[in-house]
Amino acid sequence: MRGREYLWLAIVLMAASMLGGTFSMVLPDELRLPFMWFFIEVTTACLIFTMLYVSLISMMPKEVRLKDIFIGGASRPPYISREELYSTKIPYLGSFDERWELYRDRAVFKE
Amino acid sequence: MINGSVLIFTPLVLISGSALVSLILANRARKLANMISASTLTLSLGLLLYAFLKCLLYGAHFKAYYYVINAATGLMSVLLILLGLLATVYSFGYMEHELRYDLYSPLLLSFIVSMVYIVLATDMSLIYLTFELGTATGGVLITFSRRRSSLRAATRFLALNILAALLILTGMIIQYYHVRSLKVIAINMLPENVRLLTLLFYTLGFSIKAGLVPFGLLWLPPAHSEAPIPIHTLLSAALVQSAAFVLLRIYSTLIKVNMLLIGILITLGVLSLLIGVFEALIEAIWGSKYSKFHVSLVNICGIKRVWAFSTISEVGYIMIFLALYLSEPSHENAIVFLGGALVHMINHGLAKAQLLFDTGIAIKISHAEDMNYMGGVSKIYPLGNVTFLISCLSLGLVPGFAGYGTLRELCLNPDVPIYVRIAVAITATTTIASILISWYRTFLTKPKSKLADLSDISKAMLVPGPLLALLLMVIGVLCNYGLIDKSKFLERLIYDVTEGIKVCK
Repeated sequence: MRGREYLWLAIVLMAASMLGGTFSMVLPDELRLPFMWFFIEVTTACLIFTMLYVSLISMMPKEVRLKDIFIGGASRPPYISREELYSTKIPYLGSFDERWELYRDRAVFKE
Repeated sequence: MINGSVLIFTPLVLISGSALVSLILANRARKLANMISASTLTLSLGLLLYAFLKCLLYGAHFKAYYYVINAATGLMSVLLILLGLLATVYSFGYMEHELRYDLYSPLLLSFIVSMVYIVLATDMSLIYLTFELGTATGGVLITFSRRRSSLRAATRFLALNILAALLILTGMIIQYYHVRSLKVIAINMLPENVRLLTLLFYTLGFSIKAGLVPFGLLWLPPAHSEAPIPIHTLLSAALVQSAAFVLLRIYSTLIKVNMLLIGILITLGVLSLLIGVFEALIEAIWGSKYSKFHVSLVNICGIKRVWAFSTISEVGYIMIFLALYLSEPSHENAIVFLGGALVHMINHGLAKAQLLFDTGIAIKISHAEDMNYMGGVSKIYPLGNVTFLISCLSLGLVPGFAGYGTLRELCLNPDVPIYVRIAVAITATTTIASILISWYRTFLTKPKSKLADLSDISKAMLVPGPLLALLLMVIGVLCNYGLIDKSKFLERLIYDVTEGIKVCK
């Protein structure tokens, strides 16, 4: 999954909103509080997203078969690819439905 | 006479109760759980229909806390719960092999509840909360397609909808800071400049949720097309419309509106109309390689993506109706434009749901969602040709069908700016073209695989589509007869409904 852009987006957004929050101190009284609230919300959302992003991957890493590592990568890639690293299985549903990955039933459309 | 609180909260209690029952029973006694969900939804539909008819015939309205049922909110809630009921019945067949049905069913019921209570709420905090419930449950339901791409689509749906929620929340904070009230009507009490700022936040937030261009392009086509058919139906025909309805209500309660906001609304509306419909046409002919906004690494010619792009253009109509009303908020304009927006919502809700229900059957028959691999469905499901055509003509605003009111008020009305009339004419024609191309590729081309038999398709899936087509026909006949004959009843109905949108005190 090309998910790293979301992580970068969250980090950039968090930095920008912290900066925005600091500068909102100079606003007039009636606008200061609403703007600060806004930037606090954005920063909090980005922080939670970043934490979840890191924690989900660390809690549910892709399972790697030990046998593959002992072959030294000669058979299938034992390492976690970039795509696998930034994606998790659907935690509450279990596995993906590989049959419909190509938007058609593989059991019927044999390649 | 039933009490307002009973009418308003009984559906909430019933559907929430059946969600709990589904959580416990769905995997052990699925038939019983299904029966309970269908009967509670039917009962709720009956109650809301009763309340709506009371409002319409006797001018009553029901209030409980910050919820109101009047002619407008009653009509919308009946539409939403009807679509919810049909999507639930359709799910009995479409999701019959789903292993986590015990999770799917409660989430679906919670999703339906959230949409019904969005339109009944008159307080921004309740609207916000119910929208968040809809976002959370909708995000999870999208992943039930169990593809990697559906997980990506759900992430995008959640990211954009959380951004929208933040914008709405900011608007709420500003509103509360100044007037110490979160009622929709209290926006009028804000000072001029602050009101403009608050409305900008609300408009941006709800535009993202309603799927208007440019934000809608980022999340709507992936999220809608990756979701299973019943969820796609609710996202397209119900959730997006409830967001548009909230915008309609916020603006119609205002006494005075800044021209800048009207300009923003009409620009967003026209852009959504044209970009949405041309993207749908490109998808129907060439596929995602050229239409873009796809989350999978595989390029397809997705029939569900055609409907998703088409939804963006349909929301554009509603925004144009709203902007035209705001540019001169007279009594006559309220009936023509606010009434027109509501009739369009009903037309789009029913027609899009119908198309999607037929699409689900076509997917099951041809074992594919990609139009490059579909074909020959007409031989197995010939009734689909007729029902598809009815929805096509309704969405194409053809005279004689339910969408004609929109054509009459936006395209044939000399008071509407010429660029809007041209945009509407182009959109209506292109909508028909994109639906007919999708129909041809799905139903009439040669089959690409051994097709499933109609007996393999669950009976629960075969009921909702034809039922909606029939309903569309009836509404089409009534509307056209009423418009030509200048029926007093239709005029009063639309008047009551438009007044209902404005009165949310």
